[in-house]
Amino acid sequence: MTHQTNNRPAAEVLVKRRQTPSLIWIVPIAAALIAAWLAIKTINDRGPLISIRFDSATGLEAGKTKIRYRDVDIGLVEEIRLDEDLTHVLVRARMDKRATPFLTESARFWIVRARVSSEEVSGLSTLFSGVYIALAPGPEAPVSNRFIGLETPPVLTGDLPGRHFVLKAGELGSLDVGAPVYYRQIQVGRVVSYALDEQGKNVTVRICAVAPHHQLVTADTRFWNADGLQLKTESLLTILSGGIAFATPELPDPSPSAAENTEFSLYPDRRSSLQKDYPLKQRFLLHFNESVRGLTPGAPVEFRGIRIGQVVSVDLEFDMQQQTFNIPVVVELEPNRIKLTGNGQLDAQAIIPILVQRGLRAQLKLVNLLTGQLVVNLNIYPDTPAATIIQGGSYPELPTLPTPLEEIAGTVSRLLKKIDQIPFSRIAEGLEQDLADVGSTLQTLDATLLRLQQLLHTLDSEVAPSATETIETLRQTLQTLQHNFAADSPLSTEASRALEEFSKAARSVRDLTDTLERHPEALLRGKKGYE
Amino acid sequence: MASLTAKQAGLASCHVCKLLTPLAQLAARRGHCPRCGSLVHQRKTDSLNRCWALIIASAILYLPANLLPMTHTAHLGKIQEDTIISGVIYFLSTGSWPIALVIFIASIFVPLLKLFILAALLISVHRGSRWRPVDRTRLYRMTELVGRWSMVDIYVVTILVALVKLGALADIEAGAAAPFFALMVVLTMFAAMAFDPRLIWDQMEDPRDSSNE
Repeated sequence: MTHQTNNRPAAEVLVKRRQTPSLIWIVPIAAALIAAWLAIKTINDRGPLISIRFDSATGLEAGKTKIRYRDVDIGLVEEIRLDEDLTHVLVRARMDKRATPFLTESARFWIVRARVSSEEVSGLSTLFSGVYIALAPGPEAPVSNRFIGLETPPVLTGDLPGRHFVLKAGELGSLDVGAPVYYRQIQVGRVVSYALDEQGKNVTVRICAVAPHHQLVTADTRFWNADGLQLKTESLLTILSGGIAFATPELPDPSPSAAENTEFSLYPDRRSSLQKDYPLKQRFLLHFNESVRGLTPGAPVEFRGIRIGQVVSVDLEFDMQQQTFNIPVVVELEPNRIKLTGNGQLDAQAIIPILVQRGLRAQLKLVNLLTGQLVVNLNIYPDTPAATIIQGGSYPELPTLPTPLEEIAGTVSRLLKKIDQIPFSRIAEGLEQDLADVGSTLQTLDATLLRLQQLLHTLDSEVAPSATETIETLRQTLQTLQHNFAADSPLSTEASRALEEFSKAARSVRDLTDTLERHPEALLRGKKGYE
Repeated sequence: MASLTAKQAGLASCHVCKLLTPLAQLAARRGHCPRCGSLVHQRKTDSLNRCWALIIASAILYLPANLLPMTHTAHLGKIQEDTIISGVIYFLSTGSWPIALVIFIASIFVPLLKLFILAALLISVHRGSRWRPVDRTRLYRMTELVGRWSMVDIYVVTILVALVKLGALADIEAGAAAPFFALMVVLTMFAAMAFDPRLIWDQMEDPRDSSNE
């Protein structure tokens, strides 16, 4: 033991006691620094926690489903749970810090799934990668962390250069969000949204015309619904999915292009859109005491034959006090149809009252004798007693004149008189005589025919047998003749000999004539001298 | 415990060639082993400090290693990030519980166990505990032996990353947790190496020493 203790001091010399902490502690300090840096970075990068309300969470997965903007991940769904009243799904998502500026009240969220519609096929990639939630930032708005998700993807036009316009339509037709907007059959925009008016009378359709086509829309532009099968369909697509088309009539002084959110009417078809539109409409009441058979709503109101409005309604009223029937006819006049010329300022609304002072009266006028169709005719009758527009009713009342029924009646009676003057009895008498003549003629004809028949009978019974006999005799004669003239018959031989002789004789005569022609003197002197 | 220790005998063992040299001889050679020339210490230098530092560093790294994703899996456009524990849960939920068990033991349980065992050993040495020194030494042996198996996770990830490169169909990339995890495993191995199990036994000898003298 002492041996060892003796050696100890030597060992102690070798042992170095460090006063400063060992360098090895740098390792945990470095690790701690890295961990702290990671923690700070993670906490710093953590954006706000938001909640989005959806109708259903089809395909969403907590911890996996991403929130994307332009296909860049900017958030992750952390929790999916049901709303307290079990009607909705609340999706809580942790957003990136970068996404914070987008999280305003106007931001829209929707679930991107594979969609196949008549217009497009979208989101096919989600078939493999699973659905994701898309974000579309909206315009400036207060910051929010509670959102209501859309069930259908919105049409993103907010960041497209172009302009939005508002169309008022009576009915939507088959338009849908995203339906195309055509100009000369080229798609220049899309339907962004549609909604019912507050009163429920109209449909407001918002469209977006993409630059540079938005300049084509001017104050005069007419929009019409291009859906359905029409004579001139914009595109096959619109038959299925609806669409809007517009055109700008060519006017001598074109208007500048319309501003953002300008309101237009959406006409049901192209034809109606091209009709001139007169926004100023004045309604008047007309009272007619006579029958208005043939006057229907929509019938034109004419001024000297030019349409300036239309009949809106024809009603029947019974006045209980005076025990009388009234027929109030409401007409709609478009005073702007009357072009103003000359100098001076005149409000279009004031035209009708001024004209009434000048003797403007309404009258029913028969335009079609066959159908009895009536129109309301306005004209100026300066001679009629003065009258003014009667205010007080639901509409101002225009003075009327009774329908010139007498005129119609006169025409008819004149027509009747003329018909009356036609000598029907004399015509009948003559006709009767003619008929009698025809009768006697027929009798004569009958007798003639009878005689003809008798003649034929005689021919048949008497002439025919003798004729047969004659024919028989003729036949026998011909037989005999044939027999006599046969090639080997004596008659024939003799005949040919006779003919020979005759030809000889003929030759002699010819010689004689030749001789006589050359030597006519031979007739006197004989022929010996010329041999 | 009648045996004589080298320390008591005034001898020191070389770490490299294990040659027992008397301290006087070492002093003459400025602490270098007469056989192989390496520095000789009676006990591992600064063992407790080094062990503590490495254990604390590993414990800190254990957090990001488990919280950050270990793998990025892109499969048909579906990108999935898995931490170690989410991978275990995934295998468990798909019914492959043996794989889940292997991953859990190798990647979560063993590193944590090593940290706790080493910490407990260190504390016991500090407190001069004389409680079951043989078992404590056995525990130490076990930690040293089993430590390298924690790298299984890293191997699997590296092999997968290298193998699964099918472009858009499937692609696996190592996540941010991988380097932290690897570092953590390496540091625990170093910590185990830094610990000198003889310190456990020194406590058993010292009182007798004092009683002897």
